[in-house]
Amino acid sequence: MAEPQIGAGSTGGAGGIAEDVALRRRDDVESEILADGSCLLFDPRSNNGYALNAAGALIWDYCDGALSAGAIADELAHLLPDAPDMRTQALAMIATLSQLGLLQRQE
Amino acid sequence: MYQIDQSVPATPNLLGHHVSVRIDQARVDEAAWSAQWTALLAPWLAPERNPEAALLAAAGAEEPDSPQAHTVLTVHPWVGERPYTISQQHPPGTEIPGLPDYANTTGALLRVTERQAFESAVAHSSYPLVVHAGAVSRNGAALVFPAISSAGKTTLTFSLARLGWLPLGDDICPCVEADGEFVAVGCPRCGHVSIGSELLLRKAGIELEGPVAGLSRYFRPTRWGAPAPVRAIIAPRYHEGAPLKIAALTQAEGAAALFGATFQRERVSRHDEWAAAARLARSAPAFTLTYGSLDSALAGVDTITHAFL
Repeated sequence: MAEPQIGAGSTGGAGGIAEDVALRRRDDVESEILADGSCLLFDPRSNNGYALNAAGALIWDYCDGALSAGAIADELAHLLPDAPDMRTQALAMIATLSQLGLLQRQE
Repeated sequence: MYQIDQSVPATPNLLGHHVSVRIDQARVDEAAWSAQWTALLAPWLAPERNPEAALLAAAGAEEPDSPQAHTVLTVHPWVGERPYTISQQHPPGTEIPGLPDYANTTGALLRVTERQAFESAVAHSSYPLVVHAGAVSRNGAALVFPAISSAGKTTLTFSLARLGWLPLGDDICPCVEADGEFVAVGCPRCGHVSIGSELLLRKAGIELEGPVAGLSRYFRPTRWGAPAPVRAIIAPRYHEGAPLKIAALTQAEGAAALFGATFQRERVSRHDEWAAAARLARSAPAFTLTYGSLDSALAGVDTITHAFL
């Protein structure tokens, strides 16, 4: 499985994110898992759509506010040990989703 | 040249939307204008000449008398360096801004008016999905090529006739949903064919009609494909000299490629287009096709279609 990817409407490079921050999917963002494990997101605020690959879909699923960003990245690295640099990639993906406003801090 | 003040009689039904042109006190040669306008939109003005146009008209047409069914483009005189101003009057309740446009010559006026006519038609169309894409069909299967402008859609779309894939259109692809499938119905509009592309196409034996209406670089195929269910989504990427590369996309990436190429429309929400793109991507595999020459592009399409169709 490739590193987590996001496409269409992405703003590109992500800044860093504090690993101890817990993030939660915004409730109004619609998601749809497709048969091949990839995932589509639709943000009704911006009317943008995004494509996540299967690793990205896993990250999206983990972002329910229960785990910190670092813990989610650890989970991905554990689940996908053959993917190089998965922990770093997962953190970058979480940062990108956060930058896009699709995730919010868990209060 | 003389002043006229009447609607040009030919009112095409574009994608189920009527677009009429009114000449208001502008200095336009009525006979010349009508002849050029009619030639430019011939497939739409005479639907019996073209099955796609008839299908489009039947599938998406508003009631002809409905105010929602018409956009009026009005050509006004403009004092100064720009002789023509073209304003848009959209149906009541529409949120399209309808900004005026300008033209210096009658040729430019024709180009601007044709572009505005199609932009209006797309904006008001009610198809579940209208993609900025080329499309071709063969033996009951259609391929859709979503891409940005200048990605080589026109050349690729027209040249695929060499392999028996006839064009449905080179830049606007409306799709209807029938029996759980997305059918590409096409859009028989003239394409803007560069000199280089024309040479390539002529060399490949592709017959083109044009320049249509005397407009430089406006060409259309002599034969159009028939509407057909979409069987593959292929995002073309031309890079001069690049080796042929075919990459399979995930279903989400295929949907994103479609969604990213859809048009902003009045009657179909972005969410509904997103959902339609997802449904189509579930049923048709998607690829990127990177190529550096027309021959390699055709070979790439042939490889994809032999493997997946």
